[in-house]
Amino acid sequence: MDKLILSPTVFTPRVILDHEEHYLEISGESRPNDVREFFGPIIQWMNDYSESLQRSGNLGKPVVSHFNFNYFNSASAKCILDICKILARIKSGGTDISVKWYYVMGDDDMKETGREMEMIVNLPFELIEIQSQ
Amino acid sequence: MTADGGQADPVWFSEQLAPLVAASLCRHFKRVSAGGRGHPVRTRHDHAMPEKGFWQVYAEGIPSKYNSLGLIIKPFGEFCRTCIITEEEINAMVSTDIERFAGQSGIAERRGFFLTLNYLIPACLKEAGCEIVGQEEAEGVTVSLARKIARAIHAGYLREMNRQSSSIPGANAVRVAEFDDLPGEIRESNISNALHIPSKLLAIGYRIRPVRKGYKAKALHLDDEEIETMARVEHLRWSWEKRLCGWTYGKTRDERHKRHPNLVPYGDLTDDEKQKDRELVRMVPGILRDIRFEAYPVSSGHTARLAYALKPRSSIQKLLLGTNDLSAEISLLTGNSPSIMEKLRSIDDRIRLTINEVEGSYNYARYIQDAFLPGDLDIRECFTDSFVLFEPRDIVSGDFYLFSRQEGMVTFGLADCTGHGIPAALISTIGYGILDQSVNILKIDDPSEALSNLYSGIHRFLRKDDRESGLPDDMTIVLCRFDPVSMRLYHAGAGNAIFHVTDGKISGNLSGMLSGGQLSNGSYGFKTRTLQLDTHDVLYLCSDGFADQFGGGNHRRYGWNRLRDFLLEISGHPMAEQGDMLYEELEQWRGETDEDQTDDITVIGIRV
Repeated sequence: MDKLILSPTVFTPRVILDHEEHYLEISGESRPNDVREFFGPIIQWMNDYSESLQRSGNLGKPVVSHFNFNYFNSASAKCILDICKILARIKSGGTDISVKWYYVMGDDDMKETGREMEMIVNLPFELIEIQSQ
Repeated sequence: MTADGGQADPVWFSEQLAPLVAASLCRHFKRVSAGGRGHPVRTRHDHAMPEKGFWQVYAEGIPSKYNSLGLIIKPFGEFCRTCIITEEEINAMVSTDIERFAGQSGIAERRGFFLTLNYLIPACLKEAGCEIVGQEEAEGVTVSLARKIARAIHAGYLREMNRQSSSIPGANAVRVAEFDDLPGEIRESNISNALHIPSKLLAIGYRIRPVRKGYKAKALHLDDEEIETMARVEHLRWSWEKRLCGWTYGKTRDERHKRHPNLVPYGDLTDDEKQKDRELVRMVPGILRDIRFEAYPVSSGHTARLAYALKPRSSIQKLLLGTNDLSAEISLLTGNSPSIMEKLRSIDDRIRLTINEVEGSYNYARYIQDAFLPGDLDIRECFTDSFVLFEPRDIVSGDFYLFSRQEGMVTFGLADCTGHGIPAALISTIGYGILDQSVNILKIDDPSEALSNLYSGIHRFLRKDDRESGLPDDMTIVLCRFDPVSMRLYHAGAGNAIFHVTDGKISGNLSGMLSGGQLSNGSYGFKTRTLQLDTHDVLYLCSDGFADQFGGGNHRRYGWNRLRDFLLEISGHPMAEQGDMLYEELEQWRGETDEDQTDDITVIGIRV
């Protein structure tokens, strides 16, 4: 399997999915016209990653995932939720996972959304306030 | 004599007014045909007189013809407003006439005959004591305000004359009368001009209001397209002012027989003449400053029925911005080679053609959407004091709303389908259909049950269970059922906000953008909540578009908290005004950086 790395555009976020370092990051703005086209490969990668972790067993260190959005639309929200569901599945498979959810100071909506995601997928999120993107 | 707001009563019209208008039409028609020059477009036998009974029948049909175009006929007081009717509207009325008299041989095929009549009607109505105003034009523009504007125009004119005469050495100061000393006809013409400054501004999406004490007036900058639109309206105004005084088209100007060569469409004027209209229009920002008024933007809903309004540039048209500049640059780089310029022109034409094609189909999709969404009247039947701010991002919207009244109960709701543009509009069409069926046909009373029915329906339609071809799309929503007797509100929802203002406080659900719904066991977890309302409480339903709008000068989201505070701040105003205030706030937020609209925007406000 390969790393999945995408540069940010006006409508899509930066994506770094690194199975060697066990480092996952999605950050920026997400409002693509075609969410399937953008998130399809990401979800596919996450599913492959989940399976490979099943095979390799205990890593000895946690998988770290960073969600650092300043905005995503409702269609993206569903895909991000799907990604979080896969993370929860990885966790229930016995792999240690840490989820860091960033929000810019004063952006209560992004903070609230993180909390909501956390509740839905039943996976602890670390909510982190930052000064700016 | 008239019912609310001054619409002429049909019975009154046909009994009292139609005979007068019929007689006057007949007389004017004879006068015009005797002179042989009614309107530039004509055929040889257009002016044979029809039978006697025709005129009365024809006059009786005028109000319905005007109403269908949103034009209101009403008696005027001391001053008859000049109407603004476009060539397209006249042509539409000619077609209506031709259809109406299709059975009567010898009349129906005479297009030029009906054209002449339709250009004469407003003057005949004026003789009978009536003026014609467009629906949105009539709002908030009074003769006394016009007088004030007219004085300002005249004062500006005096200033200009004095400046010119003092700048030419040796020239005598030109003597121009003060406003009150002007001859009546000129004073009226000035007032007529002033009355239409608001119409011209409305044509480009602005209304005017006094600058608030202690505030700085917002400056108004007009771009070329706006000036052209306003100049077009100015020419229409001038043309109708002339026609109302009995003028018709003539190849050369003739004061005695009231003929004027400029009584032609704006597009047929010489550039010198157009320039005069543009100059008049360029004075508008200065006039507003003089009378301490400012222009503020209004939503496209206010200009949708104004035939002469500038259509706001759609998000699709915006794609074209800059292509012309690029072409110019390329041709400059290539030394303006004729063969390359020729190719560039052909590329530009093709792009424009493609964009127009795409936009055309979007526009028709919007007609379809407008057809099923509840109209203003349906909404007012449910709640008299209410507004709907509905601003699609890309012509069509993924937001939809429902208002329905059965057995004394009112059901209403607002949904926001995932995404925007055509894909979201497709989902909204399915969603509206299923919701309408749940509420109006299956008569499911409980909002949470209606929502379960909606979501299971839409998931079945989109084959959500099929991992291969199924789609996860659906919507966020809030659905309410209101009992006006007990003043109880039953509501259920997922993701969309509902705010409640009572006793100077605002409360509401600020849930994020995750559409709720399906639990792991496949059932839907909607819950109906009850809210006891008081008279004059205000409710707002919002999709996430307003809160998600970027702007504020620094690409920031507007945010739910700011929206909640703003709603509380304006909640005391009449609801219709609040809709305008929200739009203005939105425009201000998008601001000078002119951020694109992020998402479809809908805000519904209701006072119970």
